[in-house]
Amino acid sequence: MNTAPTFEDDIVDQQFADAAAADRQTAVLSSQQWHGTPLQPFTIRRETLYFRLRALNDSLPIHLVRKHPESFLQEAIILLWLCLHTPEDWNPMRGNAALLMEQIESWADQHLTRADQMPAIELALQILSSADSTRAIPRPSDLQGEDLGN
Amino acid sequence: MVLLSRAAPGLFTYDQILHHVPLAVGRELIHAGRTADGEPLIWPDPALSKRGRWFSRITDFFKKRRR
Repeated sequence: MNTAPTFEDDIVDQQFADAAAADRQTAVLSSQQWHGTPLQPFTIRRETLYFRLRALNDSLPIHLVRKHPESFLQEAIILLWLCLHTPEDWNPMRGNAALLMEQIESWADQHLTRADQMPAIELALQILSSADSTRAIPRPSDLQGEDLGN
Repeated sequence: MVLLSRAAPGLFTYDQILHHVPLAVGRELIHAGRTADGEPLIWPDPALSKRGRWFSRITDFFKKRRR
């Protein structure tokens, strides 16, 4: 009778499997979180809404954030709200940006304390920079400058 | 959206690209697609671009303010 041979490599040590599962779980949980709640991915739709709401608020250009750090708080709140909520939460309000903004502000009033402001700004910057970190950078030719791409 | 659809044909639906694929992952796939097409690109690293360095500086600025 033909039976498949059992190789030593096929036998997975239970302890090893458990450790690997724990590692995977840690990797998932170490992604961006807000007070222990993992954030939803920063997707194209979230980015679009973020820019739309930013425009609605007449936000300062992002390069002025160092001169007026407090101005970035509003944007950080928008980003956090978007990444903590699902499309089902905002889809009914997508056509009415003012109503959506009102909803975000009332969420911030209820959930964000003064001590949360700086961590919120840091997390928002982390979200923006990690979304940007994998943008392709063209290799500069001899004729072009150093700061191309990204 | 179009670049990602081209980079990974048939991998994601329209809805998945809009609502589920993180921008960072989408950009990784676009980078891979462009590389596969033979375009000379540098491996993405924030330290290699003006924009990436700006983000690092601004993040450090807020970290210092917090201390």
